[in-house]
Amino acid sequence: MDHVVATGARAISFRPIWIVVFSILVAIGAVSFLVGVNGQEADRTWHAYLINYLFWFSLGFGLVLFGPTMNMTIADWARPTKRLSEAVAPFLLLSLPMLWVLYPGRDLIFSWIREPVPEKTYWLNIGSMFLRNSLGLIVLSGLAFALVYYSVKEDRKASFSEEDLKKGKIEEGIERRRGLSAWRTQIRLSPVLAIVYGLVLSSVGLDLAMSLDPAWYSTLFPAYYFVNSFHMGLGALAILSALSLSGLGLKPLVMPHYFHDLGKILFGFTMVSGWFFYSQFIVIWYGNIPEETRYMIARFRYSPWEGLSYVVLIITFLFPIFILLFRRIKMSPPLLSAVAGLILVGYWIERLIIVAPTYWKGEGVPIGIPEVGIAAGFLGLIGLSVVLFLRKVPLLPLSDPLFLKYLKREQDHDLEEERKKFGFV
Amino acid sequence: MAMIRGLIGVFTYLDDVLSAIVRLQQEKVAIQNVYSPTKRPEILEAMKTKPSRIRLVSLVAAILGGCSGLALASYAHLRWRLITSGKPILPWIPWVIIFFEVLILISVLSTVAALLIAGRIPRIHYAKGGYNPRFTEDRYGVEIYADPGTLDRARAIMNESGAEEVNEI
Amino acid sequence: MEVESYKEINERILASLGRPSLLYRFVILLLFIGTLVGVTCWALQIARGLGIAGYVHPVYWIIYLTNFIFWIGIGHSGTLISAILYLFRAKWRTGISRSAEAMTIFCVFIAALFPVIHLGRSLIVYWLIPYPNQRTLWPNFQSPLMFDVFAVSTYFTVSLLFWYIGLVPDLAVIRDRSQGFRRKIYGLFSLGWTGNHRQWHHYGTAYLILAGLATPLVLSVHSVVSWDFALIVIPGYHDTVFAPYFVDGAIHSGLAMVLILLIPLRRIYKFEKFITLSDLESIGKAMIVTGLFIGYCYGMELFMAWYSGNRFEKDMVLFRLMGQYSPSYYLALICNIAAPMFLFSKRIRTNTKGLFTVAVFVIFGMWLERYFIVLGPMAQDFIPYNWGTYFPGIVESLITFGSVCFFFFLFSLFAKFLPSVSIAESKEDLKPLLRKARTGD
Repeated sequence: MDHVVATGARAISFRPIWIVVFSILVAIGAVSFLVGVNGQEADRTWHAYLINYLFWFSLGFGLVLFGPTMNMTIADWARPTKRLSEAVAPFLLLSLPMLWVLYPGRDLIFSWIREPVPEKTYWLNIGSMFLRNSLGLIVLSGLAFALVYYSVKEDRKASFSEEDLKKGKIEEGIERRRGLSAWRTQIRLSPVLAIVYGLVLSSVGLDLAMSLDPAWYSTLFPAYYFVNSFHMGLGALAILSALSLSGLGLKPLVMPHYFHDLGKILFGFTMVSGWFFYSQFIVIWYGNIPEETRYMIARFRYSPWEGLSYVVLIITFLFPIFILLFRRIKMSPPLLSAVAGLILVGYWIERLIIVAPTYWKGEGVPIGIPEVGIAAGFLGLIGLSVVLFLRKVPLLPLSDPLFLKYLKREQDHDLEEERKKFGFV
Repeated sequence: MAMIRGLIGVFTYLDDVLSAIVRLQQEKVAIQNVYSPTKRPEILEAMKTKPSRIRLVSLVAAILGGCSGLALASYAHLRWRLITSGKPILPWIPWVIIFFEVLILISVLSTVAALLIAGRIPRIHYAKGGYNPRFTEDRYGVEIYADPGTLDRARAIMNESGAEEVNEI
Repeated sequence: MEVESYKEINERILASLGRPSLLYRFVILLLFIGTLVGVTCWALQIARGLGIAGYVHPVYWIIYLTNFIFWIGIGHSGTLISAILYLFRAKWRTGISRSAEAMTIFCVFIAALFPVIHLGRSLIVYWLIPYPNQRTLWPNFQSPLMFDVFAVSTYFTVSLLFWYIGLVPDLAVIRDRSQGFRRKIYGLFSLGWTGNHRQWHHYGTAYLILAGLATPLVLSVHSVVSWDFALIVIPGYHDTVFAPYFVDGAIHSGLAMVLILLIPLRRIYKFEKFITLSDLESIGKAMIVTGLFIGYCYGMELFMAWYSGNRFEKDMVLFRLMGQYSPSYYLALICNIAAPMFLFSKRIRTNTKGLFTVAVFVIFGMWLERYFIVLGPMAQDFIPYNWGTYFPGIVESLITFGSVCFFFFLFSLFAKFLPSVSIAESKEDLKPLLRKARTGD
């Protein structure tokens, strides 16, 4: 616990090399994008940008929702890594400007601009689409940022000493933190964020993904989209947590059963996402109505998408469901983050499968320089956001009552054996 | 005089039980049973119980069960090769549900059966031995069987550990 | 105010198993008579045919299916509380899980009766069971009705076994404290449990595995029930959102029923130390979440009907908003979505009367939701030949009434003869007695 006292209020100083690396990635992304849209494969580049936009911002919003979810369920097991889920908040502020990047390419992306669908013009017209999604993203990213702001604000002022951890004093400390106005604001904003998240991501999924095939519709698709996003956020958190053990020096504070719990919730959401996907699929398969099956047939019966779909099915749902049954896998940070990485790769391919069949007429699969380059750009942006954020804020949520509750709980347990076994010492 | 085959020590405090167990193990006295009113991981750790084999039974039963559900459905559909709604004779997509439900059913039945076997219940003569009804209220029990020479040492250990009473069985 | 000792846990919980009072016997008698009324109507229906239940073209699934979904849905919360919360190691589960799981079993049992009632010639229900028979017939495994057979029977079996295994140590407690005939019966069902370390060890593992296996059933069983409808190609039924929508609705109604059962139980048996106000508040908060998602699904159905541009979908929505079943739709909106919003107020959430009132509204609203979902699309599908309205008559209403009486009858029997709070788990939650804590070493 001396570690808490020592590191607590300090921010992490990253070596400048990381900023350089991520900046290079951003540059690669920008170059791939600009070269692509001005060249021969403009259509493909715009769609590559869309695929990555859908993937990376889903991941970001899902990740930022994790903290508020823990607030609402009054769960303290994930508190030491609270900052990790908040670190994407600066990146999320870019969601609005990066949506507008799509504007110049709108004719190539949205087929309902060139060929308007008569019954759907009230919803599928470029003005209202950009307007409602802009408003939604402003509100959502603003709320997320506000939550992060209140979380960090009090932590800057918080002080922490050995005294706080003495028996008897801890209860007092928890009660005092519960009364802080910043904490009460976080508690009040958390459900609001969850509701706005559901509505805004539904809209984004509908407009940017479902409308690409304007004749098709599915009542579950928007909900499927925001549930997927949360699942992606959990996967990202697993990877970030594993990296933070040595990268941020959180090893003394994070116990093996943190990864066990994270693995369990990841398993649960893998099942939930798989269930959402299956619900959509079975209804469409069974009903066999051409209006609905056109979407599924294009993606699951025609090559090259058929093979890719099986890959996604296995690496995003079937394999993780099987492998995450085992305690050893969940408790080992490298193994858990490997499974999480696999899930995220699967979701990237899934975004590709959602978008690509609407425009790709060529041979094979469109995974090349535009797609990978732009993906690198987005990765660089998230990386910069995380690194720059963590450089400026206290690493541990010292003013959070649930964090103190966590410390109290850990004090009562003797976890030396477990920590040695899983290499946490 | 009836042969004293063993002892049952009745304890009130958990730490007394744990110290008694440790000392009896040091003296190489075989502990038959440790009774408690509720599950206590400390007792299980002290008794060095190995991970339960029920987990393996559940896993194997789950896979076999799921496959047997699919086998049943396949047999029925191959027996009457009726094409309904233009779907294939053996449609795997809806049979994910059959697989899943039968998997859960067979696995649960096997787990319960394994629990009954491993816990050696149902048992008609459960009260044979050192069982005391207070064990389901708030007392712990340590039951040992040993030859007469070791019994005295065991009795002494239990008394020193703080047993409320030590009875002969 | 917390429980102090293992002995106190035993005494408080076993106190609920005392001699039944006169009031109790009277209530049981009334509930039994109510059940008999329902059974009589069912017998009448078997004798006279489904016509007396008001079946009219084209509505061939009347409120028997409404009741089926209603009862199965309520059961899901029980498993959520006892299995899913067990996996999450949520402390507030302990006082409520036994009653919740008992609620599940009774609900699923009653639910399973309804497809049988709805058959008319109830005896032929055995045709659904896939066994080699002299007719050389096999059921169609591709049909959602077969999925239902597997799902519901699996769910009932799993819930029953999960509940029973949890009961075994508690039955041993009662056995050790009874004499004579009572002792023999409880002894029989406690299977000779002694609570030795080996038994607890395997019990712990088995219980965890059972909880893990019961968890996916919460999602899958009601999804299968929803696919009874979603796989039919009628506007209003054929929606991909049905599975999460129904599961969420199930949990919503189930949490309401848990509140309706536990608030009186807690008062009558003075279980305030086991079923705390904070536990009830947690249930209330969960109801807000489920209510919001139901609102989202209602909204999504309306939106997609408009967005799709499909005239039949639009027509279905117009029928829902302005047709013969529209009063039930608006009432359901108020009861299911508006009522739980009152739980945002801490004052109402931490007040048993407030929670109970909201729960009653929600239960009523959820029954109405099943009502307009089942009946609406069938009452008006594609062509005018298939338009016809049905309203519940006396026979099916009395059968519904009988099922409600039967549920409370079973639950009252359970509350009187079995421990409605888990004794062993309550003891597990309590810090064990340590000598060094006493002597301050």
